[in-house]
Amino acid sequence: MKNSSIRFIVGLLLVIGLVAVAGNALANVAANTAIINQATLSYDDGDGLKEAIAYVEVTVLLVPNAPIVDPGPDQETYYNGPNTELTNSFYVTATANGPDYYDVTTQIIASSIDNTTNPTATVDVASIYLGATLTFDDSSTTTSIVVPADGVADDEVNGIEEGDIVVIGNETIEVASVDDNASGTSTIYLVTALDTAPDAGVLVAEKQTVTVTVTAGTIATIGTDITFEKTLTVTSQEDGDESTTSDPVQDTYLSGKATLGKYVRNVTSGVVGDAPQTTYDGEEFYQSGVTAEPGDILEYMLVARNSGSGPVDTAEVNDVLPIDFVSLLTSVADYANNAVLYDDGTNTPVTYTAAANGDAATYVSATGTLTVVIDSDTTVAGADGIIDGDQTVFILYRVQLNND
Amino acid sequence: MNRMKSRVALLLALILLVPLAAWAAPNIKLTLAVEKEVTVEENGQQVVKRIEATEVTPGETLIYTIKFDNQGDEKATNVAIVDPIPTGAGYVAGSATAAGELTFSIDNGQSYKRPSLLTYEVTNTIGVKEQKIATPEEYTHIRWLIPEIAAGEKGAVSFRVLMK
Repeated sequence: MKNSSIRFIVGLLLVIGLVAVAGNALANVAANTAIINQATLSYDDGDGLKEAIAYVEVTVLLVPNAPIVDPGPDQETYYNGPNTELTNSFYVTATANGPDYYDVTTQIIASSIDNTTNPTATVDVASIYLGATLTFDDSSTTTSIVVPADGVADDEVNGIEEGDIVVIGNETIEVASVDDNASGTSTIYLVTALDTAPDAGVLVAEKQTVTVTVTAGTIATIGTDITFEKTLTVTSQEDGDESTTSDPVQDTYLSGKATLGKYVRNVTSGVVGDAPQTTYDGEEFYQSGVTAEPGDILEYMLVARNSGSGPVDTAEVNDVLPIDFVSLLTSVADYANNAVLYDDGTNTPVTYTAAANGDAATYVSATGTLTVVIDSDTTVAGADGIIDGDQTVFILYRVQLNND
Repeated sequence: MNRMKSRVALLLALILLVPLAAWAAPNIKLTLAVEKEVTVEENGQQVVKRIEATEVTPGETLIYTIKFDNQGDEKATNVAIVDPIPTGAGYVAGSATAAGELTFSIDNGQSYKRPSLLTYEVTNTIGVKEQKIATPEEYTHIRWLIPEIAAGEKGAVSFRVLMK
């Protein structure tokens, strides 16, 4: 992190052949480069050739320039309260001819906010420092990049040091080390080789990742997703007019919304109830209108549905039976002689016992409470308590009306 | 006796004259300045002024001026003034002052030619070799050859470069 002058003795470097040969593009010059131009006058004094030498120095200034700001991918997660976080990445690359500090701000686009209030976006840094320089000549290789020295031998050159990510041409690569000389040239060594060695005057620009953390805000309608967009603005501290605002990145919070429906059918008589009815495995179930007589067997079906796009968790169903009138059948032949049939929506049901034996269903006869823990995927051991977005699960059990 | 004195005096004069002849020689002092032009307002008018350039922003033009002053008491002959074009800068066509024979180099000062003769070979996209005339931006050195600079003579040459 320095702003030192870089000294070039141009004449000397020309002698040792470090200057681009004719036909190559002339280099842009890195900031902080001190160019020492040396003129030579030779003449014959009658006793041989004599020389007079003079030199003059000019320091190249920083030309601030708006950086490149590339947004990372859109992000989404499940809404789990107003403070549910998402993390967005932005990639900032210098385009100036030297190191500069940049202010970093983020903005949520107000017009993009949908189904939430007071979402927040916070950038992880208030400012960043990006190194930059340019290749001095065409002596760079695919792994060693020759740039102007910065006057101080301290392992960094124009803000570029070991571990930095730099963009050279259209390639992005990590810096392994810097051989930083006090004068002449410094060399940036790369972790892996470039596809092509850069010519003279190619920008060597540091690239950094800026992270923005957002929170969802308060959801307006549960079951409807939250979306909003944000941008990142990066502004040169040296010249506030040199500023770039990224393309927007969208954050989506998937919201789950569970509903529960209860249906019944008379297994014994097959009596038809009131419309509308629903069907499971070819049998029609009703919400009302089903009649029964003592001794009839009724089959109840609980339908739990998540109409949102995000999951709901810790979901379980508790159904309290009127034990004065009905008795739970704990061994139903259609349920593989168990008490509960459970279908995660894939039409491949499993069955549970009524006992508290570790499966997903438990029946407490004293209170008549049947508890079933929801399982989003019965092919995976253990009930997870989740209903995924747009998932419907079915719980069926049978009771018999008492005779008196 | 008088004749003897005359011979001694002549001998002494010759002894004194020999070193005096050896001391007579050209002695050229050289100075190099770099300037840039800025526009300032004076008396309500925009005026272009030259100022010393200690700093330069890419895109600006620098003016290098080489001044020579023969402070000796003899002329200097076969004078050559050579200055490299700074790396990262391009020579501004036609900006060098005319003095003696003005030539340029595109091979780091190994050879000098007039602009129209500064060529190099390139291979084009279909593999055919072509001769190209170097552009001013490709010049690496500038040189003035001046036959002689008389004792006491002062002069200057200059050229401009555009910082990339």
